[in-house]
Amino acid sequence: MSTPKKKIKIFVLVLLLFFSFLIYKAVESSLVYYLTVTEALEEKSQSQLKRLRVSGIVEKGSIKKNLDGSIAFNITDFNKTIHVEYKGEIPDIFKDEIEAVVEGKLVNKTFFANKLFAKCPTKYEDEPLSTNKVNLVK
Amino acid sequence: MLETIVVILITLTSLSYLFYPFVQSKSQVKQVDWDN
Amino acid sequence: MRMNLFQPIRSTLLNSIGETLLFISFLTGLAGLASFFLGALKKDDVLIEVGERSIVTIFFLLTSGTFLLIYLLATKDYSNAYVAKNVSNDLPFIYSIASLWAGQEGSLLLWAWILSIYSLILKYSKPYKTLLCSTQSISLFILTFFVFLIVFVDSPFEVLKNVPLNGRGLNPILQNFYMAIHPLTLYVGYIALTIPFAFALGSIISKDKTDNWVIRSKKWTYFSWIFLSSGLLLGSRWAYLELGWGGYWAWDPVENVALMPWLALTAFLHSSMAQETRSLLRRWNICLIFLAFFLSIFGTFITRSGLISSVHSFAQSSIGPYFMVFIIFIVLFSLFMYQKNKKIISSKEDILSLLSKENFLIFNNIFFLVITLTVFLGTVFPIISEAITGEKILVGPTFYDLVNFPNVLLLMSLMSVAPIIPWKDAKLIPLLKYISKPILASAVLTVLFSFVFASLKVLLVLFLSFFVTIIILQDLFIDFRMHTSRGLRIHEILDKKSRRYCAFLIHFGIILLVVGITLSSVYGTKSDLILSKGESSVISKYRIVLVDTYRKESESKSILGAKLILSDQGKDFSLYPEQNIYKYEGNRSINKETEVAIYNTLRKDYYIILIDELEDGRFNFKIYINPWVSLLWIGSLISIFGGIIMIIRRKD
Repeated sequence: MSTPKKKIKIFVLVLLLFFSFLIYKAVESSLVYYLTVTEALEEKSQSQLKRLRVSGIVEKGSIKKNLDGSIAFNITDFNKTIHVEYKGEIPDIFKDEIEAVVEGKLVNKTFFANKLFAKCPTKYEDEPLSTNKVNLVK
Repeated sequence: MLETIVVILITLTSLSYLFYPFVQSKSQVKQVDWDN
Repeated sequence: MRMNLFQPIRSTLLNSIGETLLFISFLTGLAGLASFFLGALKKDDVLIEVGERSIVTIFFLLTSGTFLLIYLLATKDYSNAYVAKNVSNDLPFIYSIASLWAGQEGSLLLWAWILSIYSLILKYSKPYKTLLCSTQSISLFILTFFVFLIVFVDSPFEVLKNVPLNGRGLNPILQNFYMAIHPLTLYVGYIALTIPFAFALGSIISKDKTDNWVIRSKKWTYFSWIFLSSGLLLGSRWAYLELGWGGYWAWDPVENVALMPWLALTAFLHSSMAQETRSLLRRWNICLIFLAFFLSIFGTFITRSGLISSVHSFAQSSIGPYFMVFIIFIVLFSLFMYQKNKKIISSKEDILSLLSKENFLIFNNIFFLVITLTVFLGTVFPIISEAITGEKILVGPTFYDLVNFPNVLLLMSLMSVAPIIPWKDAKLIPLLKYISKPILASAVLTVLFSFVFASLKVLLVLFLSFFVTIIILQDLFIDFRMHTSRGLRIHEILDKKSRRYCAFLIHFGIILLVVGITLSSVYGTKSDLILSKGESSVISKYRIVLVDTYRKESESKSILGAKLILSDQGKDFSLYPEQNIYKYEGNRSINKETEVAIYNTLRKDYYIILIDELEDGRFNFKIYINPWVSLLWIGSLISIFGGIIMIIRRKD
């Protein structure tokens, strides 16, 4: 019998259309642009209006703790630098010269972050091992 | 020297176990049910 | 110290033996594959036997290799590069062993070893037909690929010419019970998907017209589900307890790739019932198990190739290109075989009615797939957007919540009715009669709860939760009444219907999980708080006092802690959040550790993080109050428990 099959196929099609619409709306409302420091500061990227994620290296010595619990620091891509203000939990790895990702809004060259991530140091990188070595005698 | 011996041992053991069915008689080998 | 004259000789020997074991495994794999292929072509029993023996041989070789690496880790033999990278002198013994899966080479060896165990078990399953041969050869092929990686691309037995006195050590964030067990649990689950996949593809290759592959894969799929579920639970629990941001799931790519195979597998577990009972949904089931397997391999590839950056990113690693080729090959081959043999695979009967269990199972598949697709889309969105627009765009957590919530509601609706709807052709009126009382009862309960919870989201979830639960109770009651009237005792009834009741138990656990997630996300609160010693503050209806702060020194770390007392409606809870600084840094870049203070009760979790001591001597805290989060953990445990009973009770 093809009629039940047809009914099922129509039902499924309607469902899929509904979900496609839902996905479209969901994407629209949750977009976050991922930029480098330089890109974020570019005038043409209109970054003032959007929710942004910016990654960069924490500038050495720039981390300041404020009395209201918030922190301020600069992130840089060694081309341009952004000043960041953030309040919230601080990742354990967070310190000078690590790679940080901030999410929030850029307002007049200051980045107001509501999320702060620090990149986990990679496990598979070729880091030089301890310099206390002993020569293997064969 | 020890290294070479161990390597040869491992290789020989594995290969002999692996190819043993070739020296077995047909009836000793497990029969597959080829009908499907 | 340990250095003596024989040390260098022994170390090189052990590493060489390791290399040899792996290399011979690879050659054996190739020989076995050739043997299976020729044996199938010529229908030669001897060749098939050789193929099977290759699996046995590889098992023994890899077992030796794995234990050898464990030995090197346990003895902290830094002549081995892998040991030097992952172990340090101060690392507790148990984490030295756990570092077997901390690094890439070790985890690849572990993967191959576990797969060889599964392949060996496969060899002894009955009956001994063509299906088993094709299944074993596919399993062997995948096994040989992994052996290839550890022999030629990234060996765990690489030797260091200059042996360091101390290793680099394990990231402190991973020196934690949950984090040690969680990857292993997931691996055991992922790798187990290889066998059902091999059965499915094997059934196509051997032109098997029966449903045997589904029946023979059942225990493997249950087993995999239990471990994947446990792995996800452990990961979330770890994130909640250790990462210190009050949450348990961040929709991070690494998390998503662990979730997707679970979703496809859960869909398969349901859908395969139609094939077992009525030989229907045959194409669906092949596709679902293919999808589950592809997603598990894809997940491994993603987390090890640096393709998607996440906050848990791994470096661009050497195995990326090989994995990509492997995935592309296996996907194309599987799809090709599927297309070629579509006629044999397809169900012989048609679906007769919209209102039937088999049709509801189709809807179940669709909803699960939409969730899987959504998670997939969200995960690869940055890659696609960058490829198309040049801009890297992400989707935030709200993306997933927005699409998944309606899907979860739809799934819960199915969860209520599908178990009680008959196969083939159900009549609408009797069905409506059956569910009328549960609907009414659920509606009444929901209205009552609306005085406590005003959120529409919560009420929808509650209504469906009541509906599912009450139908289960109704079904149990009717069942028991009918069976006891026939003279059966309780344990006999349980015995007879164990699979159904286990399913009910699992469903109930999932219901608790969904309720826990919904309530805690809708009513959870997050507050900032700065206090000086002795000061108290009021946040919503809670009073919090910073009673004391303390500094302590232990052998490995310096501790800064705070004692807070939180008062909630007359009850007082003491919490001790801490910030630790590890003394030994080695070459690790993390030496700071946040210890979250959590007090959990059934109704609420009180969760405090000590962020910092401020310059003026006051202390900076973040406080999360998460209502009913406990249901999440309890529900997960109940579901997993139900799964375990199910696999024990399954008779074939």
